[in-house]
Amino acid sequence: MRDLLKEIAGSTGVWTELRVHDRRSVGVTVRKGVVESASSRRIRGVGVRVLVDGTWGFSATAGLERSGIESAVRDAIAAARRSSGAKAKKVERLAEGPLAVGDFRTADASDLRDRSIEEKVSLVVDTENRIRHMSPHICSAMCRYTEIADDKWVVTSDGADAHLEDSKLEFLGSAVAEKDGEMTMGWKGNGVTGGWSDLFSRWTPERIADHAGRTAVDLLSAPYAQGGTTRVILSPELVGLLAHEAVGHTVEADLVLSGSATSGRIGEKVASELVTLVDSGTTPIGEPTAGGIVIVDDEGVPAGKTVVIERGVLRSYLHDRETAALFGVTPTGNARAWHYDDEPLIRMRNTYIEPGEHTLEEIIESTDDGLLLDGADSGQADSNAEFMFGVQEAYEIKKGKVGRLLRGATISGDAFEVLSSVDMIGSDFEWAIGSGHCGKGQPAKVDAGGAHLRCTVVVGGR
Amino acid sequence: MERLYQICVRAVEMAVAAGADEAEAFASSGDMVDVQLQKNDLQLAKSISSEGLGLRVFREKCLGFAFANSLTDEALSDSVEEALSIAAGSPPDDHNGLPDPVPTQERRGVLDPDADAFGVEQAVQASIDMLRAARGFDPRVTVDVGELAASRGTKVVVSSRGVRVAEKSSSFSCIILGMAREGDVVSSFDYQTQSSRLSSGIDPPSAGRRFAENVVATLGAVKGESFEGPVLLTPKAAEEIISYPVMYAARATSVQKDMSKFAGRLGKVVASGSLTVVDDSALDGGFATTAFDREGQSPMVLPIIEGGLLRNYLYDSYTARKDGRQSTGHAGGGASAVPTVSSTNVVWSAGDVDLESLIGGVERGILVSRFAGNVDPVSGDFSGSVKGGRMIRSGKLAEPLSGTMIAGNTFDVLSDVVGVSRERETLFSETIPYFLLGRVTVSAG
Repeated sequence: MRDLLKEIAGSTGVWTELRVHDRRSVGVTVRKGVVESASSRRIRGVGVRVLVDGTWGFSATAGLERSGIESAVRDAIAAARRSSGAKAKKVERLAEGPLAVGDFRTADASDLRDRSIEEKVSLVVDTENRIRHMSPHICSAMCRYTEIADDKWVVTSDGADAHLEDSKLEFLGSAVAEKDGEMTMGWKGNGVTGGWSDLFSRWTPERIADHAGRTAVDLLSAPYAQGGTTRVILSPELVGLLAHEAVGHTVEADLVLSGSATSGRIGEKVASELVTLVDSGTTPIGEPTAGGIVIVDDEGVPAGKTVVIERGVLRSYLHDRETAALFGVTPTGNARAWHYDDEPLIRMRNTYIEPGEHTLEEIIESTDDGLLLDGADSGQADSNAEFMFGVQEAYEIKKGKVGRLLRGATISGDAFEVLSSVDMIGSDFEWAIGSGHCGKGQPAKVDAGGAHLRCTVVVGGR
Repeated sequence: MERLYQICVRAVEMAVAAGADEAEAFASSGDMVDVQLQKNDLQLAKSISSEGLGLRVFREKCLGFAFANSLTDEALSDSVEEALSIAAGSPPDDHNGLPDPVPTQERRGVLDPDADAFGVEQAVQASIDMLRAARGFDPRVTVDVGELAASRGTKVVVSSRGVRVAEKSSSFSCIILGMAREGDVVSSFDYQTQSSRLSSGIDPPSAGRRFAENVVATLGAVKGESFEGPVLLTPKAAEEIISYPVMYAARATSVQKDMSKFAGRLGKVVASGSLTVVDDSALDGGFATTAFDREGQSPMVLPIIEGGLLRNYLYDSYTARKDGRQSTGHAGGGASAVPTVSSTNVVWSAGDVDLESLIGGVERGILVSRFAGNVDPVSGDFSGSVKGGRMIRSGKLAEPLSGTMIAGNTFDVLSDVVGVSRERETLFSETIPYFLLGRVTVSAG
C-alpha cells in the first residue's frame, strides 16, 4: 500500500494528499434491559485532497485498488479546477515543517483482541442492570460501549509517509430517576486511547454505574439553582469543557481568520496569570491514555504540544498547514478527519489548563459564598467567546463549607472574562471528557481536563 | 437501482444460508457535490460517490448488525459473519424480528428530474452568490463557514420476509454561519439554512441576506435584565425548546423506556388548545418525505398533538410488537445503524396572528432568535443562553441582548403558549411558527 500511494501521489503533477483509512468499530447499547443495538461497522477507503491553481479539491473512493484511487484523484483535480475561478484568495503555499515518516501507534490495545463480543455485550447488559436496580426511583437506565480501531496511511507528494494505528474506547452509563412526576438524569462516561485495561483502570463499570444512578436519585430532591453572577469552583470535567469549548474553538486558526474573539491578540493578556492552557496530541501530564491522543495528524504532521495561553498571555493558535503558512508559523498538527471521505479540518486533541498548587479543600475553605460545580452536560460556544454549559451537580458553598445539592444549573459567560477571574487552581489534575465527540461539521475524538479551579461565571437557574 | 437491489437480495440469501432465521439488508448509494465556504471565501469543492449496506440478522430472537461501505462479495460475507457473531453473543428478546411487507405509495416531489445536471460548477456558483449576498449587505459581516450540498441517491430495503422496496431521491441544502464585527465588538453568531428536494427550491442569496441582517442587528448588544415574563421564540429557537422534546416524548421508544412525559397521556390535554403538530411523511416535496421507512414500512401521516390533545405515538415494528399493535412506519436511520424510532416531516400548524401583532401585544419581554443551551427531552427542563436576542418593550423590538439566559420546562410551557404566529419557517424537515410563551425565567449577569 505504501509504495502504491507514494507512486500515485508523485505522479499527479499537483500537490496531492492520499489518506487510506480503514476503521472498524463496535458499539453496544443496552437500555432498560434490552439490547438496543449491538453492531459492527467497517468503513474504509481513500480520501484524496489536491491543491491545484491555489484551490483545494477533494474526492474519495471506497476502493483501495489503483484504478479507484486514480479515478478519485482525477475527480479531486476536476473539482479544484472547476472551482478555482471563484476562489478569491488562492492558497499560495503550505507551511514547511517536519512531516512524519514511519510507523506510529497511539497505544497498545492488544488486550482488546482477547475480549469476545459476547463478553462486551454481557458487560454492558450487567452494568445497565446494576444502574437500573440501584433505587426504586430509577425508571430507566442506559449503558453504552464503543470501540474504534483505525489503520491509516497518510502520504503526500511532498514527503509525508506515515502509517498510523489507533484505538479509542469509551464506556458510558446513564440513569433517569422519577418521583411525583419529576424526572432527573445522571450520567458518567469515560473515554481513552488504549485497550480494555486502560478503559477500566480508573473508572470501572461499577463506579460509572454508581455515579450515574446516585446522581439521578440525589437530584430528585434537589432544589433548582438560582441564577446570577456567582463565584464557582469548577471540577476537572468543567475545566476541560471550558478549555475546549469556550477557549479552544476561538484559537482554531480557521475561526481566527473568520474573526473569532482571539483574532489579532497574540501576545495579549487574555486570562489570569495563573492560567496556562495547552492543546497537545500527546499527554504531557496526567494519565497517558487521554481520549484525544494523536501522534501524527491527517496531513502527516507530527502532533506535539502547543501552549495556547502561557501564564495568562495568548501565545499560539492551532493550525493546519494552510493556516500555518498564512501566519508564518510551524504547523501544530491539528488537521484531523473523521472518516476517509471527510477532508481534514483544524480540530483540538487533548486540551487542558495546567494544575496549580492548592488542594480542593483549601479552595473550598477560602470560598465564602459560591457553588461547587461538577458534571458537564452538553456545552457550546461562539467564536466571540460566549459559552454555555449545562451542569449536572451544583453544591452550595457557604462560609467555606459545602452544603446542599442543587439542580438545573447552567453556566455561561465570556471565556476570557471567566479565565481572567481565576484566582485559585488545584493540584488534582484529571483528563475528564474523553467520552463523546466534538462536533464541527465532523465528529472528532478529543479529551480535555484540568484541576479544580475557582472563577466567576453567570449561573443560569430557575 | 437494480444493481443495489440484487446486492441486497444476495446479502439476505447469504445471511439465511449462514444460519440467520431472518435477515434484512438496507443499502444506499449516491453522489454528492459539496462546496464549502470559509473565511469569506471558497474553501473546498468535494465530489464523492459512496455506497454501503447494513445487514440486520436475527437468530433465535437474538439481534446482530453489521455495516460495510463496500458492496463486494467479500464485504458482504464479512458482514454476514460479523452480524451472526454479534447475534450469537447477544441475549434473546421476544420482540425482536422483522415486519411483513406492506404496500407502499410512491411519493411526489422527492427527486429532482434535473439532479444529474447539478454539478460542481452549479454548486460553486450558488455558494458564491450566497456569500456575495451576505457580504454585500454590510461590510461588517463575516462568514465563518457556509456550505452548499447537492446529492442524489437510491435506497433499497430487502428482507427475508418479503420486503422489496426502492426509492430514488435528491436533496439540496445551503447553510451560512458567521457574525458581524465592528472593531473589537463582535455580534452574536447566527446561521441560516434552506433545504429542498429540488434545486429550484433553495435560494442561497436570500439565506445570505437574512443571515447578514440578523448578525448586524445584534451588534452593540447590551446585558439584559432579570425577570419572569413573555418570551417569543423564533422557529429556530422553538425547534430546540418545543419541537425536539415534544417529538422525543412522542416516540414509542421513549414511552416504553419510561423516558417520556407523554406516557399514559394519549387522548389527554398536554398543551395549549392552539397547538397542533403532525408527522407528515407524505408532504409534497418535504425534506423527509418518503415512500417507506428504514424497515420498508409505509409511514402513516399522524397527528401527534391536535388542539392540545395528545393523539399518537410513533412506532417502528419492534416497539409496535411490544405494544401489540402495528408499526406506524417510523423506523428511521440509514444503512450504518439499526433502525430507531424517528419522525419524518414535523409540521406545526400556523396560528391566526401575524408576527407583528404577536410582538405588539408584549409590554416587556424578549425575543429569542436562537437558543444555545441544554434541553433535557426526558424531564423537559431547558436552560441556556439567548442568542441574537432582543428586548421587546411596549410592543416593539428594542435593544439587542448579550449575557442573557432563559430557563424553564418544555412540558410546562406547552400549556403556556399564549400566541402562535401565522408565519412559519421550514428548517430541513420541520415546519414551525413563532411561539409566544407567557412566563419564562430570564436571567442576566
